[in-house]
Amino acid sequence: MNMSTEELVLSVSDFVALLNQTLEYAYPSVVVSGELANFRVSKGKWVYFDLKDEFSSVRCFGTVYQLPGPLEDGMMLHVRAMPHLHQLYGFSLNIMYIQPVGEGAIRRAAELLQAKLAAEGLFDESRKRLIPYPPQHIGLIASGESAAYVDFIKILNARWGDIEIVHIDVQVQGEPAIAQIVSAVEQLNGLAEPPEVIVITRGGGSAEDLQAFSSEQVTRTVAASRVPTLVAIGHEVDISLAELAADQRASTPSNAAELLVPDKRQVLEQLASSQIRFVQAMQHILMTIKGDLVTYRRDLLQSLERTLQRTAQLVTTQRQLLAALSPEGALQRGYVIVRRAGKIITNAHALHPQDGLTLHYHDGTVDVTVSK
Amino acid sequence: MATKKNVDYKTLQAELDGILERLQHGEPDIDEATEGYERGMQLITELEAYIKDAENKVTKLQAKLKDIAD
Repeated sequence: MNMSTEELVLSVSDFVALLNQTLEYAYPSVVVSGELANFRVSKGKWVYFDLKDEFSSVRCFGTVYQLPGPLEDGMMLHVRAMPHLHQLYGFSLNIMYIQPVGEGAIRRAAELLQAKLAAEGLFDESRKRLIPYPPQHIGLIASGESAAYVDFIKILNARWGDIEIVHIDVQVQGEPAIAQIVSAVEQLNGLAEPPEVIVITRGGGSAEDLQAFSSEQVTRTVAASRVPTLVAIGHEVDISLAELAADQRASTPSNAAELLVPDKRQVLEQLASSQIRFVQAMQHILMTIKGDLVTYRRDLLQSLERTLQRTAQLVTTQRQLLAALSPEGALQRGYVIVRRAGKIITNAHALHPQDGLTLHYHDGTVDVTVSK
Repeated sequence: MATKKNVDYKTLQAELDGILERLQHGEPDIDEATEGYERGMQLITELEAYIKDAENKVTKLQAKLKDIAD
């Protein structure tokens, strides 16, 4: 091979450096779509895989922290990466961000991550905490321009109102979504006066739109939040992993507001009805007591009457007894008292013929003379 | 109401119950019976005043509820 003397001759290292500079200038980052193959993790930290299509294959390199969750061969991915030529190991795409694409890949990625996090106990019912009802202070993570944000605030105020809401505006889809949501949760947790609940919400969307809410980072952040969490993603079919990790989930942003606070009108109606029932109960108690007092009064009177009767009966009996024991009683029964000159004669020997006597009957006296 | 300050409804009723128990199931003499009767009637009057007071409160509460409903 003939080489012209004017041509630049580079050392291998210089060549690699030059190529990398060129690549960095031309493609600071590139998104490549392809199927995942030969996925492996080394020493629990380094990630290697190939991204391929029908005709080509390119090596990718990164760390486990850049993974959206567990991946497996066959998944379709969008990989944002920096093309790089390593001085020893050759060309690779240095991963910046990975996003599974297509219904199948997204679902499968979520399934794998769900199994992994479930095994760690992140979704255990025993971890769920009670959310204060109703809370006075809410941290809201949502896109400020979304219908979800408007709906949530509207329903919340219509039902209860007078609640302090700290809103952190985030993107709820696209590459920045994960980092923004994670940062927002941490920010709310770090407030001097943290809210009583953190609500993370967005409206429905395609599986791809909702991916951030099934990412490992967001799911772990929700699970780790010291402030209780409520995640409400408006969709019908699958439940996102962040919802599973939250203390409570809601089906829509409006539903989240309904779960958080009672309806003021309903509460007032219930209160009014309770008051009416209370007054009725009080009236019933008073009526009963009044009835009792009537009985008391009657019983008291009856007791006194009985004692009076008993006493009167006793006096009558004693009177009869006394009467029976008196001389009058004997006269009644036919006895007479014999007197001579006023003195009672109690034996026949004391009498002499021609003595004048007076016989005392119960109803009068008779004068008689002793004949012999 | 003078009695209400120191003696509650329960205490008044307990005293009344005690008097009735003695009058109904004991053998009181006429002095005891009369004295018990008089004290019992006095207690009933006090209890009635107590109830009247509670009824007034309920009436006021009802009026208040009516105001809210209107």
